[in-house]
Amino acid sequence: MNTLKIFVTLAVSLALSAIALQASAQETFYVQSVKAKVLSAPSFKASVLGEASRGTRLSSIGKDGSWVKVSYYGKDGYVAAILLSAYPPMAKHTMIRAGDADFQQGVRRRASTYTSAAAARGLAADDRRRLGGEEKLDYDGLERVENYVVSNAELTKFMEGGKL
Amino acid sequence: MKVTSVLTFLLVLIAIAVPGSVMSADDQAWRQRVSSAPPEMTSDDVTEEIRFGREVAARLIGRFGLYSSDPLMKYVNLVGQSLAANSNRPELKYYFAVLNTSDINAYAAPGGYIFITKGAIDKMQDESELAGVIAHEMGHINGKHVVKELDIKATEGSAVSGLARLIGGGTESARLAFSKAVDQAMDTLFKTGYKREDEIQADKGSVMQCAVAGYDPAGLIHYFERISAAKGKSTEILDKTHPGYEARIILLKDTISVAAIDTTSLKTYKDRFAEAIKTVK
Repeated sequence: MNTLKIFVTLAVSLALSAIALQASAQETFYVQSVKAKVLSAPSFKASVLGEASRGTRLSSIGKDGSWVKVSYYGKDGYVAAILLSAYPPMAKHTMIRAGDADFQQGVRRRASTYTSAAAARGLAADDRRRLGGEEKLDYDGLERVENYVVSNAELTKFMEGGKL
Repeated sequence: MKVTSVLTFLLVLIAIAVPGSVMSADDQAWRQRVSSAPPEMTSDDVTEEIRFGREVAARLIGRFGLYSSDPLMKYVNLVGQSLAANSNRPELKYYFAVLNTSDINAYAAPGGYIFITKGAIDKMQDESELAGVIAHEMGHINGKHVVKELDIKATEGSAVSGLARLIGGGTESARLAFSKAVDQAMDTLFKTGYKREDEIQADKGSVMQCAVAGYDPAGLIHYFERISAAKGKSTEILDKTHPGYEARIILLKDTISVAAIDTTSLKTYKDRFAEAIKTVK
């Protein structure tokens, strides 16, 4: 009889733990992409139930490979896992403006930093050369890259398969 | 009879509950990844990451120079921003540019900076190949591979802590730490490469990243197949810093298969690619 009691206790504990784990697997996720298609099945060929915009909160009811199964307006839907996160999306962080006085000052200071860093670390001649001058820092080029923008209209047309 | 009934009830209960609660290792890893990403990262950490990435990006541009072609710059940005619209790091603004070198490679700097070499573009045959390479690099940024490896945070305990102090003043030791970390990031890109698991994550991630943007994820496979034959100086750094193409192609094919992606329903945009690069070929 004692054996039976132990078995019952263990079985109940195991069952309750399993149920608790299952409940915890139901998590909330937030859309991180601009939009996320909610599909009727875990396939890009499946019909589209709708589109959830960035920040939309979705309740996960499971996972299927690269897809998260979610509850969407009373229906089961699937969203690509890479578009979701367990936390709300963060606000866009803007770059440091190159005209920022502190930043400019930092750039100038760092130029001398390389020489002292190389000396302090006892680097090989090749590395010292690299740090001392051959390894240029092109902030003008960087600014050109950072300032380059494509308009939303151009991007939308492009994403819809439009010609250049 | 009573004992039998109790046992039967319990066994049924376990049978119902247990299977649903047992997650595969892949599922567990994914849950851990999505659950652990943001708490590790504050707004200040993101700012720090961008500042660090700018330094690496400035060195990359300094080393090769930018390839001067407005049409190509625009095209690469359009492809890149199409992918970035589906990024899981909306806090980042992504930047794209072409580096003026015949080396076949692509580079990512933390904070959203992605560079493709002119040599790599010369080897591509359609837009899905370009998208695949960009998505792979985006995977390194979104996976915070350099950020984690070098412990780049805004907190005091970080190896590269207090960059804000460095910018505005800071101590010599802080400047040395920062300079050393940038050196390490450059070494990762040009000598040692990312960790193998980071490369695998970036390759696997590129598949879904391309597919959700409507690109055929097999584009990266076709690109790898082509450049694997291009042995020599142009692929020297790429070969030194990345796993073998054969293993990567197998991984990509397997990822596409597991995700049940019908690549024929997705786009390669061969004509648009040809139109975009005709002025620079």
